[in-house]
Amino acid sequence: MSKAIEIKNLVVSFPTPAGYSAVVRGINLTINPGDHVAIVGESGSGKTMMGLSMLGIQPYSAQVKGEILIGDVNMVTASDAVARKLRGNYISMVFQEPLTSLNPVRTISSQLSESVRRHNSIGKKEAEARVLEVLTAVGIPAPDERMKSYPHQLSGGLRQRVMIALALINKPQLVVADEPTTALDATIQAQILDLLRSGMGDAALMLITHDLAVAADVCNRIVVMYAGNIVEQGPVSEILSNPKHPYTRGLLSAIPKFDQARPALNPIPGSPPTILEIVPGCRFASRCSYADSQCTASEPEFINNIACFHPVTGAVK
Amino acid sequence: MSSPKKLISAVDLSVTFKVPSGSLRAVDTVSFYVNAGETVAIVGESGSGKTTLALSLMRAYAPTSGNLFFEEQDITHLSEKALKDFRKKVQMVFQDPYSSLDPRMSVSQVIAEPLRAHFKLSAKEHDEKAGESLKAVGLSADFLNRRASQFSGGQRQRIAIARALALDPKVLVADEPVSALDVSTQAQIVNLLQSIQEERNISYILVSHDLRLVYHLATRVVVMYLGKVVEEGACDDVVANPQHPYTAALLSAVPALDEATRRDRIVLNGAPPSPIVRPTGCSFHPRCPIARPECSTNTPELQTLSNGRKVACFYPGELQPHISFTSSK
Repeated sequence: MSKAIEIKNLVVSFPTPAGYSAVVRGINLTINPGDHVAIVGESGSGKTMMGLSMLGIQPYSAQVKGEILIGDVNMVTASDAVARKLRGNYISMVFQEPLTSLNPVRTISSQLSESVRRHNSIGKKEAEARVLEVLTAVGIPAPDERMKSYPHQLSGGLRQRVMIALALINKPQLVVADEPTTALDATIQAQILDLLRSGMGDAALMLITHDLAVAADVCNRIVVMYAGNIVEQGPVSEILSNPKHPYTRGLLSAIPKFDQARPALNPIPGSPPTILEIVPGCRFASRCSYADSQCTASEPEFINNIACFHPVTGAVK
Repeated sequence: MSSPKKLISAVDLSVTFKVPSGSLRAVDTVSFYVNAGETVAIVGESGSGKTTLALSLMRAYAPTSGNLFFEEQDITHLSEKALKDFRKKVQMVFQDPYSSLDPRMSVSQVIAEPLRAHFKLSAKEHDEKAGESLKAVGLSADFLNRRASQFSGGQRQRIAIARALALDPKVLVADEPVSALDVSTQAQIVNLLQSIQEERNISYILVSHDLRLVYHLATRVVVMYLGKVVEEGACDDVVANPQHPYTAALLSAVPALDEATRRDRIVLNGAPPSPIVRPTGCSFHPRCPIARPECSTNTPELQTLSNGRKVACFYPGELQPHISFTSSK
């Protein structure tokens, strides 16, 4: 297969008093096998809804349109049976909070072998051997002991390793990880970032995060989302050294640095539009210092990896 | 220049909780002070005791042993009634503005609640004071009659800060004040905290795990591990030249935009052990990349180095992280 996943004109909307309102507004995205792609954006940018839709596990009230192509299967229109075969097998997900995503009354081994046995016709012994193998691969110490534990008996970092093991156990082509380190402490986050960077085997990774530094740490490509649209994308080095979209530049300059002069931070003024707001033109215009009448009159198209009428050049100070 | 005035200070403060399997010493013989107008950061991971220390500095927990002073008065055992004046002068901002504001109250009620607790004011005076507080955090007084639930995360945190400022406190304890917010909004709140400090000469006790934020805001930093202070000093010094290997690892763990920091990252093994069953010797030795045999038997004391630096390690300064400093000059 030439692509891990191909998303074409994806729209995810929710019912509001004023009719359906889109939180993902026509996304096109291709992830190649083995690629590590970060989706970066603030809360409400639509990054999580896009991730959930890719597995077909978006909330019941969501309306999904467009195409999410895994091979020749379109996840948007696929039957439950077809989607279930791909989920956990071809595409899997790591959630933010492992304690709420793992079943508290079942052992690690039982939860992991369920996933193996659902997708392969193998016996209990073989499944447990695979569990042991994958727990070892994600760096869990004493895995033969740990697999008998319940989730609450593990630390946050180990639980997140179990989540990653669960995502990897059927050797998927693509793992979607939604803020996998946000709930973790600093030194544990560093361990998990290491694992995501170099422990994914052949699987492609789509990392959803609000932190550009986390994205740069793990991925080779960054996709920046704002209010339901992709506004910029490119290789990590390009996005960091020469970001062109004012929003990407805003995100970079808002991060505090180790700078002895402690210059005042440069926040992006205001806040993103809510789902109910109807915004003519560019959805970032009201917060953008480069915006002019063109920006409020029409919406810039995504051309040459950027959606902006006034792309900026040069490094961010 | 006269020597700076200590506002809150703690001497050998310990806080112990009873748990089913014994006792948990969340704060273990910690000495701490904050001077007028300065920002002291308490850093560490979950379970390090940083929040418990901050709360016990506010006398939210009664210390198990040690002493707590406010403006040189011993307040360790003062009754709640006698503490009323102290309560006015020390206020708090919490991490999550979605749970720290009552969604059913109007903004005016939220901000006026501490005023009502301490003063007898008319409704009109309440609204005036609340309006002033709201302006001080960059929000319009028109918001007074709206409910907290109508605001975004950043605006809610501004309201929480306005409530803390309503009594014109001398010390503000801020526990992870921006970690629940988006990056772009974080910067707004950080700048706000800085300008408030400049205007009012207020002291901050900042509890945070984000060392970039700590470096940006704090004058002094206290690093905690399993309830004990392992390093302390001027923020510039500690970041530029960490003495404790745990501080070095924390600094190194900061997600970085540059390649070199990532390549040379110090990654610790495992997680902090349980504070109920402490490791022998130095608490950090099971995770320490430079631990020697003696570290598992002998406990390093917190010793004072030059210019007020303190460190509890037998091999201070041996482990150094790669940090990329930027310069805006």
